Amino acid sequence: MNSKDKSIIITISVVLGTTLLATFIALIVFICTTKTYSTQLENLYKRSFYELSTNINDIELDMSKLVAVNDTGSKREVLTNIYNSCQTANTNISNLPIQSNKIDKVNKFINVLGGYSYSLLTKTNNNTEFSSEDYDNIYDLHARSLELLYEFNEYISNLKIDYSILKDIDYSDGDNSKFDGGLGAINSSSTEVPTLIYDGPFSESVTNKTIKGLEDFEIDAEEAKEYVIQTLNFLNVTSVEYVNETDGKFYTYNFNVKTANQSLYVQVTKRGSKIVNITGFGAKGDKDLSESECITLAENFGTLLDYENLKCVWSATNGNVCYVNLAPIVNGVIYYPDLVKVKVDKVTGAVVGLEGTNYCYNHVSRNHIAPKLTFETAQSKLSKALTVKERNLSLIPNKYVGETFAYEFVCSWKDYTYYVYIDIETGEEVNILRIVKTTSGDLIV
Amino acid sequence: MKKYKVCIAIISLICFGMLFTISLLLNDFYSPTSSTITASALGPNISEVQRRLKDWGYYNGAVNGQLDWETQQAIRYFQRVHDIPETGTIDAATANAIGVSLNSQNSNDLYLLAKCIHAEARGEIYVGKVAVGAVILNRVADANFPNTIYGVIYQPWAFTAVHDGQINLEPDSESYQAAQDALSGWDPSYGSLYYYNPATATSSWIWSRQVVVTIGKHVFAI
Repeated sequence: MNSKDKSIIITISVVLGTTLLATFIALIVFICTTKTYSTQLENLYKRSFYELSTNINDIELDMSKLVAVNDTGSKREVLTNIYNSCQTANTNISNLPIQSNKIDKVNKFINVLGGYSYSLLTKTNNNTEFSSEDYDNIYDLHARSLELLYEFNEYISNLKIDYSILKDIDYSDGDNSKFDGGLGAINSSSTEVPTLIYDGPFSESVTNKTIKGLEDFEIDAEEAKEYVIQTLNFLNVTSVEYVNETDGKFYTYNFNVKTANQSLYVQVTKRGSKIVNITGFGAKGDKDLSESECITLAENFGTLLDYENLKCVWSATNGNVCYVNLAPIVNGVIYYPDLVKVKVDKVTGAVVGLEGTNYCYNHVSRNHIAPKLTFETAQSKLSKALTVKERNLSLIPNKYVGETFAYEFVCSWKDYTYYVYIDIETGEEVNILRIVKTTSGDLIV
Repeated sequence: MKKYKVCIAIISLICFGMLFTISLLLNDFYSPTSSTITASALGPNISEVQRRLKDWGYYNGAVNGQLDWETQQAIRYFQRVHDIPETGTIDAATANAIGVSLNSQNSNDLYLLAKCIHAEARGEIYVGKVAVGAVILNRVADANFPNTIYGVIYQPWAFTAVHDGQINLEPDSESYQAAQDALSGWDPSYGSLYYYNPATATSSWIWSRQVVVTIGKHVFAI
């Protein structure tokens, strides 16, 4: 072997050795890092899992206390605890590595229980006694929470001390892993959540609203197409193409409508023949409409689509788009439950959207109202810090179910603007909203 | 001699390949997330920037909400005049000088929703994007799911594009608009809680759901 060969072999060995060493070090670093991250993830999963266990224990304990308490303050405390435990349990479930359909019953039970406890809390705050039906529900919900507690504790007791959730995750669609399958088993053995009628989140009356604002006749797809052509004719429609039908909360015929410079997706209800939804995205243009021009355009558009007596009650510009909220105003009363939203593109000067589901759900002819309280009496109920700038009579949707006639006071304090609603019968402050100014328009929160 | 050279070349290539792979792997873990706020993160507020620059004489183009070449030049001109590093993008210093906020009160929900819509449905028609946004909001209101937009979007295995990291792509203006529509109450899916692409869906369970409507490539169901 000559010296040249030797130097070549040495070069190869050095290059190879250095690379292998570098690779080895890099792999060690990589493995250590991965292990650290895995441990952290495992800890997060375990935290959610064991906190969920605590939540389920607390829920059962507080449900049993709810049967026993009679004092208003104690009821309030117990119900607040149940509501908070349900909220935390929901968050903890959502953090766990399990598909939503494998834990849906448990999740629903916890959410409905939280919603029901919220409605009982409202009753307690209003000094309303629980009815015998309420107590029946409480007994039933307690029994179910006890059942869930037993199953959960049994599941936990079968886990080994060094059990790793991360190693037991089912990455496939099946039920092979202990973790996924175990929680899934609790889910599938859980009984169905009872149907509860209450004024709170997740109640049946909120999720299964009845449609009151559509007339009682039905049309077919051809008639719907003809209606779209006739109604939207003023937009210089170039084509109307039938797409398909929607069988959801509303049954609709769906069309792609093309105008000179944009494409709109239009949905017409089978019952009552109403354009309930238009969805579109603005095109390029060279106009720059003011907000008041957008409002006029939106109000006229609502009228052309057979939405009655609509006037602008709120508008906000976001980018090129002006969102205009319209509500029927009849004899000076603003009907907020029938809110219709219209979207106007400021650069094309065209309406690119309409959302009329609230109107279709709620619009009915309502009786004339005679308020028990005068404006002045209602105004005396306001915080002394507020300065009233405007006042209206209005019908507002309750947070979850129903509607309430209320005086609307537009007030200010410092630089803040508030909308305060006082019940015209009871004088109760039923809602307070504040305007938040952002660069993309004013928001009501 | 030639053999040695070929040998050295092959070994060098292998070594380079190994080091490159390792560097890529480590890069995933160690590279910090970019802290620069890109212009597109501003979303719909570009119109407001254009409007102000136009009022002040920096910009002569149309207020179209697009960060096009003309707008970038106007931003550069503004930055030059105000001694701000010339980037042509709306960074924090520029936004501050123009007087627009990069984060409005509700921008977190809007931004995340826009990101999820972009990741899940960027190839879909506009109404399909709005419908995806609406499904997320329908889940927030449904008892079977988490009660916040963050909870629903980041629920493990809920959305493919969140699971594989596409959620971190920057949303375009159409996704922003779709997110804004969904948050404003538009729901062309009428209460749907699920959607899937029948051409690619692998879960047998999803086929058992009651179909509400098909929009673009997605089937929406409850």
